[in-house]
Amino acid sequence: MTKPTITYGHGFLDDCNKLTGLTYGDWTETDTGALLSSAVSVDDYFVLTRTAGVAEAFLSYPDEGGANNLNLSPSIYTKIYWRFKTSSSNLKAKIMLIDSGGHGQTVLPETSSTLFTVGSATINFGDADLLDHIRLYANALASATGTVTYDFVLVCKSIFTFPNTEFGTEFTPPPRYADIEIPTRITDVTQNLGSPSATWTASCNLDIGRLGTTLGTCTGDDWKRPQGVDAVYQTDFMKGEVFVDISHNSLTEPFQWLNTGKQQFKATLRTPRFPERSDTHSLDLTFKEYSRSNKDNESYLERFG
Amino acid sequence: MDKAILGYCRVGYFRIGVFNDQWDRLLQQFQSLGSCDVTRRRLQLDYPRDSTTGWWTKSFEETTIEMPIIQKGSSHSLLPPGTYVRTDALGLTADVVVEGDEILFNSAYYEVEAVRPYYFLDGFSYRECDLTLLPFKNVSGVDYTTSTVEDARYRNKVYLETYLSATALPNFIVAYSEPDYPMVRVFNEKGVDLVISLGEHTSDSLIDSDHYPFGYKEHVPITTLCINKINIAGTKLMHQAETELRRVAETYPLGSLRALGARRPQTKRLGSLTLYSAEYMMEYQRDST
Repeated sequence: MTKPTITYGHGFLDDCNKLTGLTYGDWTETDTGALLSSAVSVDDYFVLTRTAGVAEAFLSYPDEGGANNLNLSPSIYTKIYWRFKTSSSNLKAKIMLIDSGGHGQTVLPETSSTLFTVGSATINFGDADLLDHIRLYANALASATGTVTYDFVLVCKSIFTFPNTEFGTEFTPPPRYADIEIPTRITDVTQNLGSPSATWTASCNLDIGRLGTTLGTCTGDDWKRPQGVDAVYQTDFMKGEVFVDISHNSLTEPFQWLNTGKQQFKATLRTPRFPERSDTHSLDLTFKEYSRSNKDNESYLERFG
Repeated sequence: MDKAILGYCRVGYFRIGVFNDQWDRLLQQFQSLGSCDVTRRRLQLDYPRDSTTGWWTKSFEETTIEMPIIQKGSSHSLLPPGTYVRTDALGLTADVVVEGDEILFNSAYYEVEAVRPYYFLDGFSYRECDLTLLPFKNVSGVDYTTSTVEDARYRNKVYLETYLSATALPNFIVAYSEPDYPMVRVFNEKGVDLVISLGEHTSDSLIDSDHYPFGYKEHVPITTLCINKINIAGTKLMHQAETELRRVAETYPLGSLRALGARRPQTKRLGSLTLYSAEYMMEYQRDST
């Protein structure tokens, strides 16, 4: 039993489609020069190519030698998500956070995966320091060369776990037929131009709001944030408020990371509905897959895995 | 021992009574066959009520009384005409015994289910007591850790005790149904006017879309019980209780999402006693914790 989860409250998002000219400058190589190149691929991924050798190679944002810092408080922005792959098992991805005291927290230890893999960690420097820099590494075994690809890095307030989806969910992975009206080049379905976005809908019972992980003596309602605490400590006014938050901030938060319990992908929330009837108050949600590039770049396992 | 006085007269400072000795002669006949001494365990409800069930904690005071006991399936030539064993055993005594008491006889425990006093003319003669065998008395089991998931009855008991108005209902209790002592003790000895009784619930699972249950829809029967008293019309008090239950349900439907559902009249005439009663079904949703 895996309950659906979704991120909310962006502190920092890089969709890895731009290496330079960002708000706080550029992704900057500050190591000893083991990176051969860094580039944006298909407007969607950072591809870091490295030379052979065990010396660590990484890009930092913002430049650790510059004046800019992210200045994100880990007490507010508690989670970091990322997605990466490596060209072989000899190449290693690694992500480290640098705090305002100059200390580091390795949220992703050296890891290989030839398929895109998503990961997350709780940001915790152990003190009141702020998150100032993020390092994306492209490490390798001694004689290996290759690439490490990053899809996105997201620092967010937390994740919200759906207490239930009692009235059903529906995942709709689309085929990659173009379905373009005739006249077309060949027929109306064989264009192979890409794929519509997948959708996931969920209909939830707002009247029952208790996660199995929440103590029975807790007075809070897990449809409100923070979850799992007594009502007196909850700051949300209405049940399901997180989705109002996500919807309202969609202008500046291009996507959230949605894990339906069976699939996970970048998703945008379409208009949430809060129907209230005499016997049930419910919440209807529709999420649409988000992607900058053609889905031909990934297998279906990577796309929804 | 109570004895019926048929009459008396005074001689100087002395009073000479003429007693009905029907019981004494009957008892002597039984005693000629063996001892009629048994232990009466007088039920006392003097301790505070249990915080979960709302039942009074029982205790017993033991005294020795004279009570010939006739077992079910046996007949006895000494029995007065028309006397027969209705339950597991029948006890005859002139000593005070009331419903709910226990009788210890030959290492077996019996509960006094009913007591019928018999009179000769206007004088008391003896009591006929229906006794039920308690086969599991003093049987113990292992200790269990109390579940962290609260009983549906308890959740509704807390809800009602929190919100029912002591002004509207000045002398009521909320308790689980089926207490292990007679209700007559509650109305009589404890002086309670109204009992709001929580019956055992029925329930349905709330199944999430991933097939795992995440909550329960429960139906808890709430029964009001009251009787006529000198200054109380039971039927009016029953309505007063209904009004108050409705007020609570109308004012506080949220939290675990409660609604007062179907009402079923339950008033019964029990001999000379009318027990005014109505059952309401509290519809109630809860999470799995």
